[in-house]
Amino acid sequence: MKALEVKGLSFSYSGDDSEVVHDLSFSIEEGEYVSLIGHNGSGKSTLAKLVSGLLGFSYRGEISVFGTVLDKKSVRAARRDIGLVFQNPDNQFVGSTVEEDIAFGLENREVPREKMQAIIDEYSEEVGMRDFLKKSPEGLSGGQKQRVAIAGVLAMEPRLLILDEATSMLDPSGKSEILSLIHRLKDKNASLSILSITHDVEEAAKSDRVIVLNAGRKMMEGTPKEVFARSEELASIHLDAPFAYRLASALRAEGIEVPSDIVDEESLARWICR
Amino acid sequence: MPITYDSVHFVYAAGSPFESAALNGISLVIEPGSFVALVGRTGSGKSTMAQLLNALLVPTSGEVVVDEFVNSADKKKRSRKLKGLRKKVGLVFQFPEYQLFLDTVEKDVAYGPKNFGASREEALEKAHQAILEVGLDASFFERSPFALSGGEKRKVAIAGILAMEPDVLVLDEPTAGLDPEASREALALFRKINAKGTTIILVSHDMDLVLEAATRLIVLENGKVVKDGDPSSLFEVDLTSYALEEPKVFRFVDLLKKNGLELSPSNIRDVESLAKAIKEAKQ
Amino acid sequence: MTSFSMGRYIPYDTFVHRLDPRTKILALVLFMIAIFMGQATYAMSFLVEGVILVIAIALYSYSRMKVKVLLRSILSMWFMILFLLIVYMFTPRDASTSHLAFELWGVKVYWEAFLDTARIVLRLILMVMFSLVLTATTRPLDLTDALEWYLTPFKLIGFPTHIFAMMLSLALRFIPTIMDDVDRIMKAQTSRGVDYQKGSLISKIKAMVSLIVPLFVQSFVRSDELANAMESRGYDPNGKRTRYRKLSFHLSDLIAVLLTGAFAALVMYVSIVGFDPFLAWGGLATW
Repeated sequence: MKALEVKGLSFSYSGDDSEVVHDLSFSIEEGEYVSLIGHNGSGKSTLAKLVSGLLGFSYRGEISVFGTVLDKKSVRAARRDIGLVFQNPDNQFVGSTVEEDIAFGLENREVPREKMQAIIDEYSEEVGMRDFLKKSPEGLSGGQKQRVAIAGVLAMEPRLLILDEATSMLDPSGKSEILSLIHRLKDKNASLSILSITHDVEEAAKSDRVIVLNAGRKMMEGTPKEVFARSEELASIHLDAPFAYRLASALRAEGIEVPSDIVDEESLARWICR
Repeated sequence: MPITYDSVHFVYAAGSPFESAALNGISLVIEPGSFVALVGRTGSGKSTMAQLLNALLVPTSGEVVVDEFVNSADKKKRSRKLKGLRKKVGLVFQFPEYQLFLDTVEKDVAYGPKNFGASREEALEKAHQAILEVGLDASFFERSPFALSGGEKRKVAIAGILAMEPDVLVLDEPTAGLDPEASREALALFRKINAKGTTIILVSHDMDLVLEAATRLIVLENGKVVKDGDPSSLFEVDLTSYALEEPKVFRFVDLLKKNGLELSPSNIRDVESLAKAIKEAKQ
Repeated sequence: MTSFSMGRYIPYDTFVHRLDPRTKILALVLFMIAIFMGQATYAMSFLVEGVILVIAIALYSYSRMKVKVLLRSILSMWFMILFLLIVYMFTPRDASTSHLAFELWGVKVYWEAFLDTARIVLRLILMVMFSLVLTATTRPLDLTDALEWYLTPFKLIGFPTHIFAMMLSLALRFIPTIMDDVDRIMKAQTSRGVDYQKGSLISKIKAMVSLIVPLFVQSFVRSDELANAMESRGYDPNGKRTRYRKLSFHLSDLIAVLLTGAFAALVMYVSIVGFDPFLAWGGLATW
């Protein structure tokens, strides 16, 4: 089953003629981890809002979530399958404490109060924030707030997790906290589908599939290996390749012919030292 | 004249239940014209150090001296007119695009120089220069800063500080939230400004950026300096204990070492210099 | 980093902190009533208010608040005290029942003017003290919940108490965030040579614009993103929701309510019957 299917999607903000997203089609299989990369202004964040129905339905094309076509009537039900984590840790912290923030979605779903505590305990434990339940957001780091946001979303048991630049405002340690958490979640629950919208290519290199967006259009799609091998094309749209790819092409520029199938740092180091 | 921190302590909200110490005795000298990076985890005191430099904060004890300006805990020693210090030390905050407020780019950039006494014409002249310097063209002069993209807004905000022609430029996480291309452009700009003689103090936790740009590195932890030296000396330090990441090139040098190839880290700053070093080692 | 200010919640863990916010609001109202009940004579007034002052000081120090803060707030009222005194001096009084203190430029100043001023100032101080105890010992959000609880009856006439409460709690949640924005923007503009303290009126207005425009821009961004986050997590302002946060009324709350209730009732009783033990001293009864 497809977790998300986007067919011929075009969208422009009202009062603006230029299309932010243009004739875009792609899909995510259930259990797949897909990265959507593109530089700032490529339309990738608009896409995150479109597929969760936050920008209304005045677009051309069709979006379906687990087989349900999104429209005004179906959006509420469809949203139950989607968990969205946004970029700014402060602006999605609704509760006044960690536990209240995790509870927010549960309250909206009318989960009885007696059942909430166990759920809060479980998911705060999952993201490593169990010891901070009574803390208010002012005392937390960006990475901690994002972990709370993820716990709040997970508590609603989504089948598709959408990360809208969820790590871009974090410091390196916050970033790696979140990335290792995502991979741990994926290992634990193989059927969880993930769409990560990012400009962090190191993160994208670790996903199953990469879609490259430029000026609202799909420019490339494939495994990280396939996509990042085309580093010149990526550079032309202001995207970096991950470190191993960059080093390999720098070595080639020095006259050292690195075989094209070497794409991770471990094997590159081994190849150099062979 | 160098910048001097003399046993500087700083405590936030002293005497209240929310009291917290940010700096615990900082003493150091920063030479003019240098490119210094201040690194450390969030809350290590690096932003506090930056804000003491133009007297946005006053030390709880000790003093910071920039040229003739003394920012001291002791009222008698403290300079009267600290506004001059603010012209000398330009401070670019994290997400500086949030300080834009005038209706055109040129007016916003000219705002600083005007506050420091430049005439309208002079201020606009300086603004135009600064806008061009950060890599925007003349078509931006009369555009609204609010209609620009995130990266362009950032450039305008930085131009707003450059137009004040500071001797010292303090940058607090200048590349946060920018895409790689924009970060690289920003870095090239800072290097160009530094080459003209402006002292640059870069507050960052992007270790790749720091390694590429800085000539001196100061690691802060709990309001104290724990490391101070050449960026290549980073290689010897276990950065993870300060919640910092090892620069990617150093991580790879480590990986090569494990596989039996030893490289000297002293000339390695970026991917290109790493590739060169590998080539030399292999020959 | 927001600075320490009066009226802010101070996170200690005392008996007063642990009380149900509904109890504390009710107790505040009861004390207010007790404070403003008129008494038969000045002597009785000061006796009752003296007793309340003792209670206030006890609660105040029990909640681990600093007297320094209190003194500062009283001192900041000096102008008002002077103003009240002048008003009371010129208030016409019945010469037969009042006590002349002195005559100043033909104006007869009675002792009652001083007593009235003292009484009103004492009442204000008491009010400030009780309010400070409430805000210092109760998380703003708990206050919102308590307020929502007291507003429940208005649901019957269609007042959307839950939306009102959500708005209040979001506002409270974002006050520290917005204060940080204010701090950061002011610092950024100060670095560009803006002076928020000195300067002419025009330059001050300009300085305020340099703060307010960016603050609004950022607040709009924040509220837009917050709305998205809330909507994507299934929030529907008109929908039914369960509640995680729950106020709990304990035995200690019951005792606190009964005690303050009894005290307020006693004060009301003496006020209404005009009870005055000082009648026995004859002389004091004419005051």
